[in-house]
Amino acid sequence: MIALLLAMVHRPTDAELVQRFKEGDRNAYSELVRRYQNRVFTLCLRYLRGDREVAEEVAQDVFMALFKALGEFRGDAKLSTWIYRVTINHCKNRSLYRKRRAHGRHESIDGIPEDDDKPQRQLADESSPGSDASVHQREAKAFLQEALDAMDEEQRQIIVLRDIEDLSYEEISELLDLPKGTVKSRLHRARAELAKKLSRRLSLADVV
Amino acid sequence: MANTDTRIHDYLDGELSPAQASAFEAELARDPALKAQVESLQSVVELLHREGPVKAPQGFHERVMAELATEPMPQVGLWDRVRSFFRSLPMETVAMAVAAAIVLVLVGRLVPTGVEEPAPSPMTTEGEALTQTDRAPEQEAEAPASPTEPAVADLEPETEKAAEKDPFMEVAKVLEPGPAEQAAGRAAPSDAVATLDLEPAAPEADAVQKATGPELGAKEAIPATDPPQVDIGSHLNAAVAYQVKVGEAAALRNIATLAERHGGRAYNATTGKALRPADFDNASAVQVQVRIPPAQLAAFASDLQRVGAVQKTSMNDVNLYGPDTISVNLDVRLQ
Repeated sequence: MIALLLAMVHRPTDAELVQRFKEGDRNAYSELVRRYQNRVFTLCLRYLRGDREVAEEVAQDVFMALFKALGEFRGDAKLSTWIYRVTINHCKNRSLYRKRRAHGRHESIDGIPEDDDKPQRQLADESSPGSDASVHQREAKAFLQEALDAMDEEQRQIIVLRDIEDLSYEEISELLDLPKGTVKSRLHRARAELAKKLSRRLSLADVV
Repeated sequence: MANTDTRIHDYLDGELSPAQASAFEAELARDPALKAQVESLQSVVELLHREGPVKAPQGFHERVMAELATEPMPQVGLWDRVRSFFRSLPMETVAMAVAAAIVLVLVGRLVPTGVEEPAPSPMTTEGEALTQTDRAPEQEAEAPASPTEPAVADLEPETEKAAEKDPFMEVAKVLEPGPAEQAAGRAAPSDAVATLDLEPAAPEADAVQKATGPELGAKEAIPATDPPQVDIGSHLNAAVAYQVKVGEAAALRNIATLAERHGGRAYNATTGKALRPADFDNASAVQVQVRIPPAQLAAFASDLQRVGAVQKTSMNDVNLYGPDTISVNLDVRLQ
């Protein structure tokens, strides 16, 4: 309890943790991993089309790489922006590698097929057993992931950063090295595309 | 007035002023089609917001730290070691040392030295010189404020410094002089230009030209040059990917040789497998990732330009291979 109170009184800032790390404190890095693990893993997961196993592997690589480079981090950008950038770059490389392999095996990596062989997922009927809001939520999540996976990389990236990770336009602009106006217009197109894809699969009114 | 599409998303992002939002809502009430469009997008945004961050798998943190257990702590700068030393001292010791220092300074000022010394006029040149000399050690003690040691407090607030002092923009300057840089809208400050003088002197350029031609000479043919002072921390905030168009197949081969000349190595960008110069034979296009020491990046980029027509294509493809290595992605094609 006392430890909790003490932690509440002073939660070290990112800058303090970086400084402690530079002074040889390995625990400071441990705290940074704890602080950023969910955000890094989420970004990997969304970027790599929901593959948890690969996302974990890439997220682990990201933290290994950050450990080696953090001593040289000068603080010209926010630490979070830097970590996101490193994560995106690792994801891009992995994505490229997977895409080339998939291409070799003639795997489909584009769009949700309009008439695929898989049975279309049905929204749970309100009257069926076990159908409740949580079922709707799960369905909506599944459809959302599917629709996100079907988007091209550029659109998926920007929508994840803005609408899931909740980064500001300024942060995304810095992260992707794009003008703010370009970030906005890309996001607008991506949202419209996502709405279109989702509307094929479910009635949005049922899930919100 | 902004177009409808922009206003829709500004409305969804809460970026409209109260007056603008009210006006837009009134417009929605009058236009059912627009209202339906906004509601559809609003549903998507709310669904995405509801997603939020996913929890990392159980034990992820422990696995990362276990993996790092055998990794030595990276080397840190002198200033960090000094700070570490003082931080490790008990607070009482530091307080006593500071108090003692203050006492010594006061005593030094109050106790007469026995030598009559004319008080230097603050307006005289000599006085100024003396004052500057006396200040020198203090300035050294303030080293963290200098460009060689970052002020860690800068990590938290948002800053434009990364964009302003981006060494990659200096590399880009060599590769894309003039209009391209202006198009990027990021003019490099003049002090950065002074730090990163990427244009080799004329004799060196000749030597490099010779070295990068189809007939590459021995390693010694590359003149010894002072590597530009570049900082890996800044590199990691930027990135490079180049498209290189070369006129002859032999130049493809030279990419790998060039990388090796600069203490690096070329890899297959997809598989990560190391490439030898011979691997480029009979190829018309290659996706290469060159990993080189950061200090060699500018010289490498400069040489690259001499191999073929170079176009910087992206600023988001940098990767870390530890603090001593940086990667450059190259898309090399025969023209």
